[in-house]
Amino acid sequence: MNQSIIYKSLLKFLTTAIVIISITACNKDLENAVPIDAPGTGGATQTLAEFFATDTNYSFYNAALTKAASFGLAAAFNNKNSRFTVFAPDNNAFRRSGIPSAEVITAGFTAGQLDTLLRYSLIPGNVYTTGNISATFPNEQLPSNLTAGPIPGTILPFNLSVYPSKSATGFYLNNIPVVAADNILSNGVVHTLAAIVLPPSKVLAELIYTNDTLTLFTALIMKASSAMPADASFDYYLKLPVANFTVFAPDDEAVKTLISILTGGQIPVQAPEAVFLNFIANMLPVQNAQGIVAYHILPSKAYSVNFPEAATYFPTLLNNSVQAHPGVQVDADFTGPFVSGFKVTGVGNQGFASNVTSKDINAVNGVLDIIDQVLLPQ
Amino acid sequence: MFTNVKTMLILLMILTNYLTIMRPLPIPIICLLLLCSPLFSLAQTEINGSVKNADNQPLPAVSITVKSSGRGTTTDNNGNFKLSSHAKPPLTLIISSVGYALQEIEVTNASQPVQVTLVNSNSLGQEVVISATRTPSRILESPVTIERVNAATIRNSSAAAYYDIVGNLKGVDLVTASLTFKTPSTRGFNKSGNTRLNQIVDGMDNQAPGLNFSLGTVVGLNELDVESMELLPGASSALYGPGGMNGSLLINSKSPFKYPGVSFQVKTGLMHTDGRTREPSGYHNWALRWAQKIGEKFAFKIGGELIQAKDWVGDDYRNYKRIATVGEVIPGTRETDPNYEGVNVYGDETTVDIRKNVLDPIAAAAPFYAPYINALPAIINVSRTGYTENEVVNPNTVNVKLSGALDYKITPSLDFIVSGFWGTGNTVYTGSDRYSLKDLKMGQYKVELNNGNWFIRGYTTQENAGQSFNATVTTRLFNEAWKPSGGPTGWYAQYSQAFLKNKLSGLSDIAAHNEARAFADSGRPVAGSQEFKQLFDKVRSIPIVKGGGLFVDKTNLYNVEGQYNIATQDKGFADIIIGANFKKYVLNSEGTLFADSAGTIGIDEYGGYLQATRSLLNDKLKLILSGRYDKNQNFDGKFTPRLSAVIKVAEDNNIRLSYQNAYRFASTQQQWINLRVGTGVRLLGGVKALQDYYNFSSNPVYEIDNNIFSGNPTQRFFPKFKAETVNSFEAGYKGLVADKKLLIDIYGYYGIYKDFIARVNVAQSVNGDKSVFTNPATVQNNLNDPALVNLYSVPINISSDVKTYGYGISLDYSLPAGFVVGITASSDILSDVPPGYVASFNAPKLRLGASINNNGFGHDKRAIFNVVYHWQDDVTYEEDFGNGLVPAFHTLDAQVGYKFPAQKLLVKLGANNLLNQYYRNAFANASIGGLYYVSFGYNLY
Repeated sequence: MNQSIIYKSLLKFLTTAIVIISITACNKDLENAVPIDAPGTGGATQTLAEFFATDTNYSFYNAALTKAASFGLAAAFNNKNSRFTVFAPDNNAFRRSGIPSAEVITAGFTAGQLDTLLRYSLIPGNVYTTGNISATFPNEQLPSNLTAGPIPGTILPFNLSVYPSKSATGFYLNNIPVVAADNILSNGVVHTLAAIVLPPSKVLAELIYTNDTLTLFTALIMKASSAMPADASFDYYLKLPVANFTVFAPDDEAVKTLISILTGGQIPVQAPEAVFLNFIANMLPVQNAQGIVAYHILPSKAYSVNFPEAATYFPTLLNNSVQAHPGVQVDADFTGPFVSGFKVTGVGNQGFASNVTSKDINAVNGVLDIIDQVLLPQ
Repeated sequence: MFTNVKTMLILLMILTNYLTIMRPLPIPIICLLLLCSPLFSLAQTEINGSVKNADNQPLPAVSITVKSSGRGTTTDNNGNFKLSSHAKPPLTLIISSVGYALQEIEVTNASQPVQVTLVNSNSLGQEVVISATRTPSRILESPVTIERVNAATIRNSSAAAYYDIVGNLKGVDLVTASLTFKTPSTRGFNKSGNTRLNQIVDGMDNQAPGLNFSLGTVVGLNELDVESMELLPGASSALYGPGGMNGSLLINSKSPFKYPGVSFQVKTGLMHTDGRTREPSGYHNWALRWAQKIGEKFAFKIGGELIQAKDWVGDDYRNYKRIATVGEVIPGTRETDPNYEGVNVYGDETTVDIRKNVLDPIAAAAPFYAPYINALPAIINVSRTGYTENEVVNPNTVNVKLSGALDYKITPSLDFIVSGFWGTGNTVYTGSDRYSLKDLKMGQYKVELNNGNWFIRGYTTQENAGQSFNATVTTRLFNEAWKPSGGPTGWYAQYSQAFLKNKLSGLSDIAAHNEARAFADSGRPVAGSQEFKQLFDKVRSIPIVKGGGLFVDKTNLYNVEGQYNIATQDKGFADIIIGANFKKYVLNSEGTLFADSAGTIGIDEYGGYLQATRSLLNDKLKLILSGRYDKNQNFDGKFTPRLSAVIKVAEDNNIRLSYQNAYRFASTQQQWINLRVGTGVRLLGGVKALQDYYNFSSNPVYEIDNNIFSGNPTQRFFPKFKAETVNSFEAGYKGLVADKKLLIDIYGYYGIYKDFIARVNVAQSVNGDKSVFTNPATVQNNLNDPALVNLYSVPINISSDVKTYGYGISLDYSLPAGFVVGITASSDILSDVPPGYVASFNAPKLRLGASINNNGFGHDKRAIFNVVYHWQDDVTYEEDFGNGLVPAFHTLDAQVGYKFPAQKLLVKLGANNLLNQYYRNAFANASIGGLYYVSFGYNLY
């Protein structure tokens, strides 16, 4: 064979071989890092925003969301990286709370008011279904999405708390029942409220001190606090935004009745208010004032819906000094998930219960219930 | 004869004493000692002759050696030679030259000039090898498997760097840590810086004594000075001493007498052509060699090589889950896993459980958030943000090699040689972490007296790690220097607060994490910025013990050795070689690597060997018995025998059988390392002093195995640390068939490793409280908490045997017109590894190779070309730095060249990884793309 033929055929073979190798046998691409799929919620595909925009039962809610859009919540509901537990009033709930139409929402409220309203009924960053909520008394304290400003010295926001709870009688946010729970969406869960849950704007002290029917209870608090350290007094705690109390505040008539009895009728209940104020300020022993006030405050924030149907004893602040004291007896009557009757009884009231005449007044740092009879610890 | 032995022993003693008493080696004094020796006057036989080719042209630079003495000379420019020998005729001369068939000439009368005509040859299997028996023998008759790469192969190779050629030999794996840091391994146990394969350059062990890796690619011969590379796969410590468990690579330089003249080579190329990890950049490799004979007695050579390029990049950004020094690749990216730790991302090894360390304290201080925090995951591990390898490791790989030698013929057969290699450069090495070897310097200096029959040499290896740093540790410390992890305003406090803030604004966990990271990282120095560079340079220049990343290592090695070849076969007994050496390591890392913060640590090692060769049955059977004894001060003495036989089944067809026992003392690091690596594990040496220092006896350590994760820890005890040995059985056949056109080489081996050195991971409670290991729910987190648990990785001997076996086949077929095609297949398999041990075998089950080569074709045979194809199967790769699958890959290298004989020029166009398909040959190491170059060589032999 001629040598040049040999080269040519060899080179041809070689070229062919190279071409074949490069076409058929590629090195596998070096593996890259594989992203982890962020766990969606329950395989749902619809976002919160899509749900509210499309379900006509929530057109009032969606109107509020749309009007408040400049504050960003609507966008957040549309973001697949968001997670929210949304307690949403449906149209019926708005109507039950006195808002008859979507137009009223759009026309009657500012965007800021609506944003505040909406954010208070959210738990951010987490998807709480009924199963995640604890059934322990009184409820679970969780942050809402409503921020009251930064926590001093940190970058953390101080978000107002909301109090979801679960019991034999129902599932609640604060004192409002959830009528349909666990609607899971891709970036959150929706629980339907029976009515609007209003955010508190005041601390207990402010609610009590400015209430015309609680003038004498206010005076008792001042008297009791006067002999306490400034940063450990009732006054201080009732003003502390991060505290949690349930205050059964006896109205002025109830206090007058008590004083009248204590003075053996020397101060009749019909006496002018100034007389009672003078008595509290100058004659009532400070220990008695402290005891009365302490016995009217529970060291946790419990709405009427959190109390059981069967009358049950709960400790009060009095237990801080008298540990063995049985506390006060509370019972709530339910019609469905709603409370229809709410009573509290002191140990010294000889079985006569105090009726709650005004219940579940929401404060930043607790809940205020006004009662018609002073609770007696012994 | 006895005079020579005596001289050698006296000199050996003198050198030994000198080296043990004083250092560094006072070279001039030793030179004087040697030169003043009056003992070298012997009766000489003078043989004259000339060598021509078939066209009657004189052939220069042809090697003439006296058979079984190693004594020799080369022809001058006119093809004439003059040879002195003290042996009396009859003698056999071996005449060899690259590209010509080897000839043996019987000389019966020394007064008659010898006329030799060499014939052009591409014939296969005609080479002579030395390393198999430490005496020259035909490669076909080698008693053990051997591969040889000669200067012509290098000249004709497509490899951009000559070490790559070794990687394409059968049974060889190459671990490419970076462009200029390549480690060949045979018979498995591959790693960057393999300690089971000796690399011996001109008789000097090339292993850096402190860093424990062979630096042949960094500090060795330049390409133009390589005469041959001989690879002995398989156990070889019977002749080459401790180490060489798995093989030895011997590289020999060109003698200035034999190869005088000036030659140079300029290779210029392109890398990163597709811009995958870097912008396209140049590759430069310039080499120069100048050798000169001054009269017949004196010759010198000097050489230099400069390689400069932008290095390959370790760019495996997959997520890695570390538990002590074991782990695995897991899903996840920086954006989807807050605790992401990229394989080649550094600094992200720092990890903290923010739930326990930051969020729970926040919950205690702000009870209104406590239920919310309590509902978050119980463990929230978060790693700091790392920097990728190409952001922290100098992209410029530079390698400067300088070498020089003086060769003085005291008598025509007695050479006195002084030589030195020095190299420096930037490169990247993979050990327990990735190391940027920056301005690394290593020098090797040798004096040698060589008479063919005997030699005596002393050399020293002087190592200086320069500004080398551990990329992992340095980057972690860089992060700390920029923003500390701990403290009320530290990175984790900022991150955790931002995380909680983001959760409270309604973000999902991972979105909250990512925004928290962006917050904590705000102002983080951008890689490559002036701020980054200043801070990084500051951290990397502080020694590890002082809280930086600098690796201080100035460990030195001193070695003297001698060998005598008692050619007594003619007197009816056997050819006998005896030799001995003494080695002293002086570990000096100033406490950064070894436990030597209080001063240098010395390790002494000595050994001797003997080999007897006897031909029987009319030269049909050759038996070789070798034995060697070595003693290291930290280990019991070790005797290792080798028995090998060559059976000539026909002319040019031989069967080889061998039994070898090989061993290695643990490397200096395995003896004395004391280094806390990036993962938080402290690597300890095996000497008992270190275990005592960390109170292993009073505060027990527990093995990190399945028992500990089930809350049932087992205490680990450490018996005396022993040398590792292998008993290797091997059979092979090498032969020329089909009219001498087909060269077949086949081997199979079976090796049993005893006292195999592996590492075991153990944990010790910081407070001596075993309960940190007894709760299965918390043990894993406790193991990662340095406040509770110390982690150690301790070398041990595996008590049960580990077995390996494998085979290799190569077929080379000589076609007409100088074409040679070859195919290879080889396999290495490990079996019987006890569970829980990291054996790091790392060899593929199958490698295939194919090549076509022509050293001269076309017009005046001026054209050359070479194509090499390599494929290897996937490997489950295990190393201290990380474990993972290395996928199967193939490479295609090719070269075409043209010679201009009148100008002595060779121009080549070559490509390595021609298809530019990126691959890694070891987990976590650099990914290698195509390198394309053009090369101009002048006066290449």
